[in-house]
Amino acid sequence: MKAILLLCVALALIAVVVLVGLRLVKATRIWPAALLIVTAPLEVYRSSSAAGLNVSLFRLALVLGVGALAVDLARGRKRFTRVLAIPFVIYGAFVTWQLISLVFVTPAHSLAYRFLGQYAGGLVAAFIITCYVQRKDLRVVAGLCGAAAVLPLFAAAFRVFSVRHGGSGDLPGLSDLPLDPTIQAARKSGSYLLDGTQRLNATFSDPNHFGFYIATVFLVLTGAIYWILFIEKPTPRRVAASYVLLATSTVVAVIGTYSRSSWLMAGFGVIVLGALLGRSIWTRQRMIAAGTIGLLVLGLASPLILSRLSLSNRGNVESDQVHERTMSVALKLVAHDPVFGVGLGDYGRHARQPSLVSSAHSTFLTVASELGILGVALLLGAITMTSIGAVRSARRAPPGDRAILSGFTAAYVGLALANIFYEVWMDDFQWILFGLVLALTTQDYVSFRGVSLHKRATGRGAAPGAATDQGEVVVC
Amino acid sequence: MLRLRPRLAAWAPPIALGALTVALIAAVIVTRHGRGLLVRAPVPQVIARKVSGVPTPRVPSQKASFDAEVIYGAGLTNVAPSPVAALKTQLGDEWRELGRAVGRLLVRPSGTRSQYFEIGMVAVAPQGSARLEILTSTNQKGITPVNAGASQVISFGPFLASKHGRTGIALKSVQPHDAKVGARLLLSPLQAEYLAPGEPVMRMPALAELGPNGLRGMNIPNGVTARLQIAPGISGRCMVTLKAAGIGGTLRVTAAVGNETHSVLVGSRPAVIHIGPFLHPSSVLSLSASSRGAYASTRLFLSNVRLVAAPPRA
Repeated sequence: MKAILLLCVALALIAVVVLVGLRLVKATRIWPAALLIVTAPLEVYRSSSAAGLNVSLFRLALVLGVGALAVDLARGRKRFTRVLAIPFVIYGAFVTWQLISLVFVTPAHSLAYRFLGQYAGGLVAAFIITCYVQRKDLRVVAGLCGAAAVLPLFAAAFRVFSVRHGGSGDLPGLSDLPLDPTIQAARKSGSYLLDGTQRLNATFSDPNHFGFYIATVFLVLTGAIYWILFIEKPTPRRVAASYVLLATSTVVAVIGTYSRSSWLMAGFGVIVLGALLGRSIWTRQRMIAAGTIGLLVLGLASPLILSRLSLSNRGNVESDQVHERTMSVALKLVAHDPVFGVGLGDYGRHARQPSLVSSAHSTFLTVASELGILGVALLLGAITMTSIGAVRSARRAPPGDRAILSGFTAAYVGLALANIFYEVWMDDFQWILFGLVLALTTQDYVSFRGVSLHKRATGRGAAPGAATDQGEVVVC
Repeated sequence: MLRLRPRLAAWAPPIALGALTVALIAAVIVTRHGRGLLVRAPVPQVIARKVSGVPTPRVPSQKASFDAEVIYGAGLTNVAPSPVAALKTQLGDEWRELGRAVGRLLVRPSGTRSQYFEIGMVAVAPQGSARLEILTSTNQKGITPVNAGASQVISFGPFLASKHGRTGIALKSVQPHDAKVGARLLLSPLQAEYLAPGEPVMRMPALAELGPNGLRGMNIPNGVTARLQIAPGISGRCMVTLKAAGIGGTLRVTAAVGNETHSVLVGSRPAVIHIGPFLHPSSVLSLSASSRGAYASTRLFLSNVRLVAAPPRA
């Protein structure tokens, strides 16, 4: 009970800071979404409740968001439309399939409940975001994503210097938040490479998860920087300086996680972002400048990157062997039962993984082995539909919006690609990104007035979060 | 001047973010060079040396039993002399001080590589009672009380070994009754050994007791039951094998695996004995000794204890 109260107090403090910030930019109406955006990366701040459930800052914010939405619906400030973005519909089918697996297939009920809850909770969070965020909030939301990363970045530096000075490296307050011992071990002890190099993990238990999160913020900020430097006139120097410095911090943090998957995500995301920004804005001078900056960063970081990527590095060899083994086990399980899979959350038992772990180090292979071909097809369908809508929307948006939308889209596509080689699809920030992409871009949707499939959202009656290319949004 | 202040205040966010950027760059450089923080412990290859003036301890010295690779890191960099003079010959004179901070170390167990390993050490709490908490990078945990004053032999395991060879260990001293930071502890050089499937977690090899015919193992007094944690890996019907001898007379040894118990008689000469078969293996093996004469000094000496798969039925 004490732990829950502490989390509530922390959430109240965060809410005050968020409201003050939103007040300054005159966007207080998006506070439920803002609270979710800010609390999503504070992953370590959670505790086991008496009922055995994990209560985190994000989940408390989610409860608050659901309450706010209910109040707004009751007061008539929001209204439900009978349309739903197609990715939501596909995810609905996916969760139903998970439920079927839980009831009829899997023997690992405990883990299955956790996984199902993670997806269902994530979808609710994404839905709340689509209900509050509109295309006109694009710049505010981009800034909010950057601001939310400040605390994790600070925590990353704090942990390193704490260990350097003989401290434990634990973040303040964690000892008052008891957790399952297996999770607590990962939360508190940090992560080191075989040669003793400490990896940045900030407010996450796993440096890879932090790497994915911070790479997401980097891509969003890169899009926003492009807007500030080249489109916004006159250029707001202070804002530009803040964004550039924050983006530099995120680049340093991405490198400092020593997470190869998040490096892949950042690299691929930059390529997608460049492609989405289009040829018209890539003048010769800008290409030379961008190339020089890129080479400079790579040159400075090359000793770290090369040592981590070296094929002769024993740690890499062993890590690759582990990944190959988990992936081959997943493929064998898919071949063994392609229809139903081994059951939600039961992959770990077949791969002889510790309790509470069920991961093939690839989101898609884990889902395929646990839920069969239909399960992975639904997941891929949801991701593909979201990506198509986001890419189409970014390409058709006016230049100012296009830069920032490209950042969000590149982050989403990059995150999806990197999940081939790692597994962070159930993370809270992934659902936040998913919700933001749906809220800010134009998505196909299904109308439940006679169940007709609409090609594009065009205004009133649009799917929750589906903005038109002109920036008009009708949500709830 | 008054006009400048709001302007300066407006530049506060970029200045703060600049400081954050510099701090992160410094942090990444520190982590890169932070490998220097990890002090490679001088690992005594043979610690069976006599120190003049120190009485010969009851426990025999061990040969080359500290060949596990141990890299001590943050929180365990303070080296202290052995607080127990009688243990200097077995454990050396370079103990580690575990203070308020979490002690970190990397360990590569000795022996034939397997899925599980055990860690043994001696802990002394010079200032007050505490509990020693251990967390491994494979997400496993153990905790044991350390009473003030007396030295305590501690064995943790079986722990899942890292596939990368070296397993990260975090040690922390916590209060006897809550999770707050506990009293300062002195820890001996630790020993880590891989455990074969069915092998029990025993006292650290350096402190193994000397038995008949030069055997090394442990004594179980008459009427006492020893509960041993067993490394997983054995399935189906199984048997307990051990080398045992009754010191002071014939003893009945009873082994319990799960709900099943079997017993055999053990004479005074060391012999390999098999107890079982048991239908199912268990994570705990209980061994007890009893004798009809009930001489107080009678005890069971055992070594090479192992749970093995039972031979197939004829």
